[in-house]
Amino acid sequence: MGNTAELLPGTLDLLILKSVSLGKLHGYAVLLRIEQITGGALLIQQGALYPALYRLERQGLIESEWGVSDNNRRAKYYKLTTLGRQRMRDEAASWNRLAEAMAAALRATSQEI
Amino acid sequence: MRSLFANLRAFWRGLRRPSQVDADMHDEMRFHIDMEARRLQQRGFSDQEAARQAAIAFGGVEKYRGAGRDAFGFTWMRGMSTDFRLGMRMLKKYPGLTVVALFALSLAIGAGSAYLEFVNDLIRGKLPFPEADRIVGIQVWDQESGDPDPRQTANFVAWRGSLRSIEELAAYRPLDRNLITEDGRAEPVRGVEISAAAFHIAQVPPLLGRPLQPEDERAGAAPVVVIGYDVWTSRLGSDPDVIGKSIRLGKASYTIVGVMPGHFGLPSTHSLWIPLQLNDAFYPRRDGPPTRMFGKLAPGVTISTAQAELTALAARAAADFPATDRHLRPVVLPYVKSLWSAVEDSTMQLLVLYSGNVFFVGLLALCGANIATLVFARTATRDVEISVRTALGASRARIAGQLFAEALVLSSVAAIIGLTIGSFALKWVKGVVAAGMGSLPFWWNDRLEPETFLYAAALAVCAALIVGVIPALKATNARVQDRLKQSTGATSGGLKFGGVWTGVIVTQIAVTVIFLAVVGMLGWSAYVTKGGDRSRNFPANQYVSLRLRLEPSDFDSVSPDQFDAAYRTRLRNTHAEFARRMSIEPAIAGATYGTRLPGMNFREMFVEIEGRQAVTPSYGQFLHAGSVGVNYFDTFHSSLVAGRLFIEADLAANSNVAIVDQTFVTTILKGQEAVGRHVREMPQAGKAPGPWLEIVGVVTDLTDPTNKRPGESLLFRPAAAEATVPLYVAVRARTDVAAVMSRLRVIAGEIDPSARLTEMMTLDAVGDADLVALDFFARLLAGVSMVAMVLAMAGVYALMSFTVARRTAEIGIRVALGANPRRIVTATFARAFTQVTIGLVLGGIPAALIVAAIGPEVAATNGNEVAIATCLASLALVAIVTAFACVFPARRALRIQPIDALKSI
Repeated sequence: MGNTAELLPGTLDLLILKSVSLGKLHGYAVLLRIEQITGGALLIQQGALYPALYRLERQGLIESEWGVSDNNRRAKYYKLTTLGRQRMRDEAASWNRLAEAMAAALRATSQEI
Repeated sequence: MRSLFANLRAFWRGLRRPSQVDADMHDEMRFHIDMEARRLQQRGFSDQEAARQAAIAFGGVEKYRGAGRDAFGFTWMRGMSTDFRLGMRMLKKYPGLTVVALFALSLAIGAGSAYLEFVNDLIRGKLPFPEADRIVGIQVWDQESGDPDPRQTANFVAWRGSLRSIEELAAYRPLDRNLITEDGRAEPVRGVEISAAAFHIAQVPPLLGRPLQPEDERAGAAPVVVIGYDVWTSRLGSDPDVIGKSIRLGKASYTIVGVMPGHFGLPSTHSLWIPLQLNDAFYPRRDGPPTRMFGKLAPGVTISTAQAELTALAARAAADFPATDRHLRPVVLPYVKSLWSAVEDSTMQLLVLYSGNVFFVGLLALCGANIATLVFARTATRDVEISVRTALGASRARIAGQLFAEALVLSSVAAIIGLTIGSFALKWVKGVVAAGMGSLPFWWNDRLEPETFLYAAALAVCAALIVGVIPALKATNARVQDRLKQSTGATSGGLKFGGVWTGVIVTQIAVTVIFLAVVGMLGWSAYVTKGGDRSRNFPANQYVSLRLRLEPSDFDSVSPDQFDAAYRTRLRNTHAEFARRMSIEPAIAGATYGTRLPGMNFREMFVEIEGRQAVTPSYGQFLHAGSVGVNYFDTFHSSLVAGRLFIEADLAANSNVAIVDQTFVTTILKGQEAVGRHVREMPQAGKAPGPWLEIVGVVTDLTDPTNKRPGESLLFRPAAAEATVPLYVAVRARTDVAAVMSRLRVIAGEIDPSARLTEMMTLDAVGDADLVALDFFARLLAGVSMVAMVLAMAGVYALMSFTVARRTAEIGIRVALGANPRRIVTATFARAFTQVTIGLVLGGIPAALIVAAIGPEVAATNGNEVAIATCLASLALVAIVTAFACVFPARRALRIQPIDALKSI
């Protein structure tokens, strides 16, 4: 195993929400943004991004509109809805609790037990 | 909530443009791969290699598009839309089945929806007014007699302005006056005396001028009138300057102050309004002319609150005026309902009216079950398809869903056709009602209400469930695996036309026979009653029939006896003058009068005949009777057979003479001498018997005497015009009947403006209205029996075709072995023949019983012959039609060659 990690189930949604929370992005840019904000540490099957985007859109967490990309091509842009922002906060909080719990658990030494 | 919206939006998008959504997904993924390829190119990959690497990194586009569709939730919808498209294709592929199914289902759905619309219009009609749901009708019921008491002037005066729950209260009384225009034409008009509050309740602005106002109601106010759109157009030539002009209503003159638009007809079918002038004086309780009330609930008040207030007031009145008000109970109902309810508690009545729908739902179920037979037969031809799909993992629900979708397409098309036909049928029924009532209630319109559309949709879904799901469940039962084996093996097995379907076909044939027999008898009855063999023995279309009445309003203040005497005197004078004017009119050949004219329903009477008490039943001999003028028989070309005709002296009140027609002599007296015999009316319910009448003459029948029953005999008594109630006048025109009609109105107007000529029509049109109900019922049954017959034919056809298809191999082998083709047909169709025969027998027996029971009612002398003929004709018709249904499958069976047998296995 190098310096990348497999994505945990359920985390892709949170990553997408986080990416689009920083501004309006098309699908490919979401991928780049995830790579960027995770420092390329997470491996994502690129195509899997789209079913996740559609699911989030159906749930009303993000919304989309067609626009024109930097290189003048028709592209679909996604942005976070209020509902999505709320969900992202909740999920992030829950994720942080889990991560801290895991980190604490893994830090535990024999003296602490 | 927002998430629900997003879901709905996505659903809607997918529903509208699934292919567009697919294309968008494709574009989006393509863009992604191109961008990735560009990035790789910038990193130094060749164009080709970059594209390849980008595609690999993305993964399968198709796979993710599929996942995308799932994520959008479109998958099931796409399945459904495929099913619906397949359903449309099936309609085209099996045109025979489509036509039969559409015919039957559209009739059932259309009739059911039209009936609901009609009942709703009748009972829950919506007034085209703002805040119409606040408008209520108030009736006061006499709990002792069980009838509404219309004499409510005292209550109205006491209640108006004092009720808290009803902010405006209006009352009206019918106005029986002639409207006389400047050209001298005097015609009855449907008018009312009405409170000005009625116009305030309706809030409908007048077309011209103003509505009635409270000042118009004051005693001594100038007489004003507001006219309706049809009076304005038909009687006043749509004169735009009509306001301020005068018209005469009977003897009084009124100034027109307003014209109301066409959709305004308060209280129901009216088009002329004058103020109801009631001051606050004392009015005796339960007295005065009939007065109805309606009002508008105060804002936020419910009907039950208003009911409670009126009940409390009635209780107080009962205590204060026990002699008059002890049994009175006011009832508040929605306006339209209050007009139609004939009993105090109308729940039962409503229930009966609405339960008429059960008949149509039953009809739909019957039609549905039959079409299910056909669909099952068709499904059988798709046996292999279903088996293979099941083997490939399609669930039973999925396959049933597909067949349901196909059936839903069918029933939806049927619902559209049915609603279209239904709305036409409704127009016809309303036309008939309008002809009977003179005018339709103003809130009736030709639009179908949303409830009717919903009901039709519900019926369509029910039909689809019966038509699609039952065959689907039968076709996808547990034995489907066996059938898969059979369909791939060499045996000819598969779906069977089992007991259920056999039962459906047998029932179908039996029901068809019964329906046809009953319709045949009803048709015969309608034909006979309508005058098919009761044609009048004179040119009825050359006669004008009318009813002569005088306006009673002149005599309001006298006692009933005085009123009666004065009325008779005036009627005698008016009629005498009318008769004199007619006699000098060149276009008129003659005129007479009677309580009834030939072709109308004469009064029923039970008589005792002197010397024949032993042979007549104890309650008397049933016949019909009427009072007529002296020249009645001459005018209608009825000639004297024996004795004498009436003379002027017979018109005296105490002359106890009568004339009978020949049917009386032939059927009741069996040809014995009639002149000189005495008859009298039997005592009825505690009354004394009538005086003995001497038969002084016998005349030929006024209508065709063939096959008349004793009850159709006529007995005539002489009567002066003023003693003839009702007074119908027949006028024979020399040439142009229409010209005579308008001339009669002018003459009547000149003699006495208060003379009302109503029910004016040619004599051949008289009596038709009575037959409308029978006619409608017979038409409906004829429609249903047509459907039953077509379905029986289609069912037998399906059974036969199915048998031929299933047994192709067997027949082929038999032909190869040299079997006689006729024997093959007989052997193949033996079961179908048996089913048809069972159906004919099962239907024939009840049909014979029913027909035998109603036969004598329909035709007296030859009732049994008619009954037997009708029954045999129905059986023969069904037998021929089903035999006809066998022709094509039989020909197909005969054409099977051994090579076909090889192909089919």
